[in-house]
Amino acid sequence: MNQNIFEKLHGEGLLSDESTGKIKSQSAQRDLSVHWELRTILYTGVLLLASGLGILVYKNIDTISHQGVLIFIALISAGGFYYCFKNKLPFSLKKVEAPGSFFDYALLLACLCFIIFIGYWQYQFHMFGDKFGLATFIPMIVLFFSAYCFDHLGILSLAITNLAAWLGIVVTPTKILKANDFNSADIIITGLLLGIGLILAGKLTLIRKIKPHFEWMYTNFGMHIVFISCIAALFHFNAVYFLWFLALLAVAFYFYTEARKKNSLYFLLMLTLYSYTGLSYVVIHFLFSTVREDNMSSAYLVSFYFIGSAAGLILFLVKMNKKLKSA
Amino acid sequence: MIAYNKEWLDNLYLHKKLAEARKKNLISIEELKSCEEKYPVCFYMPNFFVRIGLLLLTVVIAIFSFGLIAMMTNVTYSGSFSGLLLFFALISYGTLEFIVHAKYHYKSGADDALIWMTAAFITAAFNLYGDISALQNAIILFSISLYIALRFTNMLMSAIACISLLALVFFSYTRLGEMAKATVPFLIMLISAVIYFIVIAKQFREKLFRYADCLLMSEIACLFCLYAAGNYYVVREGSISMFQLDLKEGQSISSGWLFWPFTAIIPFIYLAIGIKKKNVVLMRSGLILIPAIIFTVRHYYSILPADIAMVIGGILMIAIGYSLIKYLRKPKHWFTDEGNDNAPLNTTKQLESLIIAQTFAQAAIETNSHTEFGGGSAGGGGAGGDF
Repeated sequence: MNQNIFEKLHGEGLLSDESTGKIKSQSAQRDLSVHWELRTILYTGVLLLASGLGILVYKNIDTISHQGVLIFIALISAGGFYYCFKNKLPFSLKKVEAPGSFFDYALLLACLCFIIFIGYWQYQFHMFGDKFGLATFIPMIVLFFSAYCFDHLGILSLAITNLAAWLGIVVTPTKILKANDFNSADIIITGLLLGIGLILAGKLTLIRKIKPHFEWMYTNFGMHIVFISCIAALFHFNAVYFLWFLALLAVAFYFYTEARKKNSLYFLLMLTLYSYTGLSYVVIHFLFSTVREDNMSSAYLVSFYFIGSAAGLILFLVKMNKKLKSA
Repeated sequence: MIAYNKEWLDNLYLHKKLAEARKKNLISIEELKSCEEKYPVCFYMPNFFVRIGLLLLTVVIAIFSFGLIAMMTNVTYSGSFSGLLLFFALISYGTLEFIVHAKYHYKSGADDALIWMTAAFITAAFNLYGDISALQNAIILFSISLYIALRFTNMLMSAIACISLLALVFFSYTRLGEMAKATVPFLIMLISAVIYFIVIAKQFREKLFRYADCLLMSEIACLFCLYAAGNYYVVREGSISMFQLDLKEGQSISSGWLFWPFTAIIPFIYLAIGIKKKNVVLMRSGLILIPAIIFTVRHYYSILPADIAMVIGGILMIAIGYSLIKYLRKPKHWFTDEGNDNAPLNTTKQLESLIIAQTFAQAAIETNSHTEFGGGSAGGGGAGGDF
């Protein structure tokens, strides 16, 4: 059927003889690509090995065999780093391609084993003391170093989650809402500062042209953390919630200009959903606190608000989609 | 039967093929442009993220309109509530047809949302009306999903249609008695296989080329159902919960030994045929189902402690992946390691990195937080119920 389509177009004079010939020869000899299948196998292997070793060490902590496991972990980590240093292409501030397909996975395995190793030493001997969070600080430094040295976006994302962990926040994508106690003012403020810091880091990356392709990772993490912190603050600091709502709007406006600049509908959708959550909270809060004597009419008003606002946002998104054609 | 403009659907398919050819540099930009001009697509198809936004917002509108009307009419007993749900299903469906015909929506998010709302409202209406048996539910689900899959070429609905058809067979056949209950796994396997072979039949595919995505989804659904019906875990635990079998721990179902070969071999058969015929669907299904073998076996026989099994499995997989990549450095036997992804490399990389953060960060941070942070006790924070 594919062939027919192109032949028909050829017949109508829309495709040149040369192009049709190329298409024909292409579809005649086609190898089946198993690129992603193989990558997935490798990736799952790394995941299994690293988590298996992590559990193994803690389970056998009081037996002799755990030292064997530990040596094994250290060997994998050292071997992985050795392989990466030996094979890596010279450092550059621009994007550096990985020298081989195995490189990225070796580095990932090496870094993970290193983290497990450090974590174990801290657990068993309190090597790094209980102050300053050195046990998360050292892996973080190593992760950031590896991310830049070997140009690995995945390691960078690990480094950022580790930075957050060092500050006491969990930013793993699906756990960010569940695992954090956003009822504590400390966490909210830390989150806000961390998010702003990450956004600034993203900006700096671009301005200074230090690995500019890393910018997206910083900005993405920063955006989610700042928005979530703002909304958490909105819920938590009840007395001055309107100030936090204004802060939320300011952040949303900043990302709106960014989204326009970057032509990114992803950022646009995110800022829309986050500010909508904030706005809805404020509206509901307002309706139920002012019209207290009659809950039923508040419920009506809330329903009207949601129908109207959602319809409005649909129009907004449709309009923005026309303005920013590509993502 | 299809609600969308068929000519545009065909042109859309053409555009996709042309874009692929353009990406491989087989045709020039001018050729692409002139072909696209000659065969236009006038659907309203927003960007992926806008589609998600429209989907969510349409659901918000539908739910709150429903709440509003429910409050106004003040329905209390279940009969009138079902009536209201049915009424809403009609409204959703009417709006769906309207935006598809008058506004040319195609996979815009709004039509996706209305498709699912229609199906959900109808199913809920029947279920709230009275006690509906599983068989009746299967019939309802099958009719709705089949209709929607046919009319809106919705991939997921076609998978649901396949599964609910099998459920329909399952519930009607098991009514026949004990003998039927014992043989039902084989019947389900047989019917999955029959549907599979119908769906992949060449004449069928060519005639229904506009349903290519639906047929593909049905194909995958059948492969997985076929395996599930023969899987020891599914059969044993399924019999316990559905037929109130009283089995002790470690006790096997009658003729349970029959299912172990199915459990262990089917994924490898998929994989082998997939490799031999270069059928990506079979190959991937086989690969995905291999962990199912391991989980099933480990659920009944603890051969190795989990951590050691993970370490060994991890090493094995790295070794296999590494040697296959080495082996396929130059294409061999019509297989290659070269990427042919259609997504721009940037997006793929970003997505991959987020997956790494998601899957690995947990392990990494948890090992460390043994000492430092008391771990986040799940607080009641987060976005409240207002979205």
